[in-house]
Amino acid sequence: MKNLIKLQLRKNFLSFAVILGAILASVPLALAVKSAGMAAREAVNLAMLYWGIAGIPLTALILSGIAGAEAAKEQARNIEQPLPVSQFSLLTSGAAAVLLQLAVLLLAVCAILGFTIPLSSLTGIQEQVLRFYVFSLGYLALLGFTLSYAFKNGIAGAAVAAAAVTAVVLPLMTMTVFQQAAFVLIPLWLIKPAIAALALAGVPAALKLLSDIFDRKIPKPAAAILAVFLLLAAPVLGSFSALAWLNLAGGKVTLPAGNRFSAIFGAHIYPAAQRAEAAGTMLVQRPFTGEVFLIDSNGNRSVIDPGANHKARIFAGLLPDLSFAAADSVAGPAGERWILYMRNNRGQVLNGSLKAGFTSRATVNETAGLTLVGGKEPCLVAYQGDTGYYSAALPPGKDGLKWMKVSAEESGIFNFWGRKYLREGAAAVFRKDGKTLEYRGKRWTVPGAAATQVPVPGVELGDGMNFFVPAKTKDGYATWLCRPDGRAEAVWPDYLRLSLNLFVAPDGTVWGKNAPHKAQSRRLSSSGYSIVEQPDPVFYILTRDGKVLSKVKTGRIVDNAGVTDGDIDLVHSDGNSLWFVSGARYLVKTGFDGAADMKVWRLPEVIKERVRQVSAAADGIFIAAADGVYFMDWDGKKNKIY
Amino acid sequence: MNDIEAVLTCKGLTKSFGSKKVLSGLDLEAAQGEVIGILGRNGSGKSTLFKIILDLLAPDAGSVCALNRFPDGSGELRGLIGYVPEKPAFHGFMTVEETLNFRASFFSRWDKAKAAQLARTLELDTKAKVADLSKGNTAKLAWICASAFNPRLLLLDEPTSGLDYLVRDHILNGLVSELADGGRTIVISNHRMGEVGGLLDRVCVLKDGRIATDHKADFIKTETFKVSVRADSRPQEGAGVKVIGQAGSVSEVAVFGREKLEELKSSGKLDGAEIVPLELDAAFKALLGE
Repeated sequence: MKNLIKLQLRKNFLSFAVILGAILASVPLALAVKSAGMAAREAVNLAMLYWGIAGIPLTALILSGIAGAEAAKEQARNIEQPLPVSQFSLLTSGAAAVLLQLAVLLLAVCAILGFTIPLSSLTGIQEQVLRFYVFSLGYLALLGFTLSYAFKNGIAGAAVAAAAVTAVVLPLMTMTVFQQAAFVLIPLWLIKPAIAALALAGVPAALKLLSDIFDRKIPKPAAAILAVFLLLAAPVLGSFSALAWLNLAGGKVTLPAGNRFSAIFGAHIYPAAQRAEAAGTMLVQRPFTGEVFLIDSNGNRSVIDPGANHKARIFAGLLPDLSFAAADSVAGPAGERWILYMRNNRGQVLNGSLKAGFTSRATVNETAGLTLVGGKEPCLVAYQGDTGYYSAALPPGKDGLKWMKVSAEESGIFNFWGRKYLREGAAAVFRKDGKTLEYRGKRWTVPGAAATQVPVPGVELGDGMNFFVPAKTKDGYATWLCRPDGRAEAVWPDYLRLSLNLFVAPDGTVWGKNAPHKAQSRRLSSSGYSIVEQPDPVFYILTRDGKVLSKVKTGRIVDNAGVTDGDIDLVHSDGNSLWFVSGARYLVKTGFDGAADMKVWRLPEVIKERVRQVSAAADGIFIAAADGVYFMDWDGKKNKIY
Repeated sequence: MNDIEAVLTCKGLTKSFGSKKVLSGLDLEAAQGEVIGILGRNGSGKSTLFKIILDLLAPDAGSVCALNRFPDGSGELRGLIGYVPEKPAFHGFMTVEETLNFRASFFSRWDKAKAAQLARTLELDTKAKVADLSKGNTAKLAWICASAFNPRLLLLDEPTSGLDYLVRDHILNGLVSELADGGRTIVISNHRMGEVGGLLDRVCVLKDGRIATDHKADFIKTETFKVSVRADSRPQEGAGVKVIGQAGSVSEVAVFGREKLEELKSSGKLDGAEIVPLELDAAFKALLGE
């Protein structure tokens, strides 16, 4: 083989030498024509960039086209075929010589660049593109040679090879960029090497069959011709099949649409029954079809937006069509639902119910801080950059939304929220002594309350309204719980406040958390060792039947689920058990110490961890997963509801 | 031949190119040391037969066994068989010496001294560029390449085609004789079999894709006769009898085999006829049916 490759190199030496000469000559040429302000290194880099992007791929086509067509000529056959080597070896040596020549040309370009890429560092996508480039070059050379041999014509072979390589590489590259930038929908880590292997192994196999057909003139060549076609077309088919798969997988993807999350005026304002009902549905979007809908745990749906591409398509261009909607849903005084739905900075306010469907009541433009607020007086709140905060009551009047100025400055909006809490009957106030908290005639004494000038939001639990008051202590802060029976007690040694860092699960469990870091550990990754701080979230919990739990440690859940700081939320409590969602990957049931009797259920795969990807209801959790919407109850029983 | 080692065996070889059937169930055997002439008209399949034996073409049907090996596409057989193609070709950018060195790298039994000796004998300038070689010198180079590794089997495809008399003589009376004397098996295809007739042990006529007749060379040399006979008493054409000319009232008939001649004589059909041994060239022409 070595002698054959040497022979092929000698045969094509002139073409190769001319191109190598052109690469070398482009250095002084770049220096001669560079603009005055351009650094010499920069000019040379630009010249090499040309060679990298256009020159070398074109060279791959030229060299492989010449060599492939040459190998098919009668004269080459007469000269070389009597040698005691297989005809396939002769062809292989020709292709190998082209690859060697390309390697030398690339080496020359790299040497001129000083064996460094003129970029400070490669991003993930740039690294992928570089890999595609190297693969494409080799594939182009092999395929160009094979097709030029098959067509007995270098130009035709090179042209078809260029088209075929583009057809293989372009979808793979766009899918890679897409998955790196957006969602991982299909296992490209496996598909790409498989297609690359198919391409790089398929071409020599096709060349062997072509040699049998053209040189050895095997009998009944129809099967071999079909095999050649399939071998050469397989990577193209593979690449486009992967693209179709990506599009189809994209069509199934669901994401939460109820992501206009406002913690300031959250679920705690609702009475217990309404809170559970409000949490009993999930706003879901299919970002690749544009469909948005509200769904309950039984799979009953009401479509908010059917989407432009309602059905998933096998082929929808080189990239799936991706567009996001944002929405929020709140309950009004009679339990009716209001939905704020936004897409492309234009939106609607809809009103209705899951059963009866929703109708648009008003249109609205996207503005900063546009928030839908529920409770007894549902409204929209928005911030107009120049003039301040505005509010519009729901339902809108005959003339549509009527925006009323709330405040010109940020402090004013807090006053607005406070007044609204009071109107909703969802807040207590401090008397002037700064220690006595008062709500509908009930009083509690809280020494050292941190903020006494603003209303204190409360939460209605089974026993009535409960208030949480952060107060200063000599060591820092403590949170006081003011119970409906008049007791006031310091329950948690931390600063916890509703609408800030204290949350209410749909079943009425109140919880907050702190996530101190445990010991550091060394982890090995592709980029070497890194120091990782293991989080150990600590939960402060008031169960729905009034039990106060302090510092429930959940580090073991984190260890088991492998989630990072902040990815663990409490979703339910019952008896002596707690339920956590961990990293949108696991539902975990534990005892009150956060470790005893731990049960872990794997959630359906989600496309990317986002706010409200997993949404708690009173009787289980919704999961907007990669292939549809699921509901899982507290025993881990999973049901695909759409 | 059954008691002598068969160096080459072809059984039922069939080969078509498109709708054209070139070989149609061809059988051929060559024993150790035998020199066989394959006689056939242009396009009769001689070169195709050689390419199949050399494993350059795959037969549609049938089998080949040469030197106890079967064609498998690996090219191994070509390392054992000396081959002079009808139109030898080499890389024009090499010198004769480079060509010989290049070829030597593929043959484990290549004898460099022998190649050099042959070049001297054939007066071939080893420093000359192949592109500058005349047709005759290219043929000489082909001969050196075919014989420098001492093959036990040689396939010579029209080996003297287009060569002038001196080169032809040089090759035929020098090289081929020497090779034949060395106990090698040689299969020669040639139009003009007369010029090699003296070397042959057997003559096989390739016709309609198969070996139509197979005669020992001695038979052709000693038992073929030209019979000049009156046209009105000319024997019927058939097995062993072939009309080869007509001049006025006289017909010339080739008779193959003494037995056949005696049979015709006894039947009285050759009364008054002139009977002389048939010249070799004329015998081959008659065999070809020309």
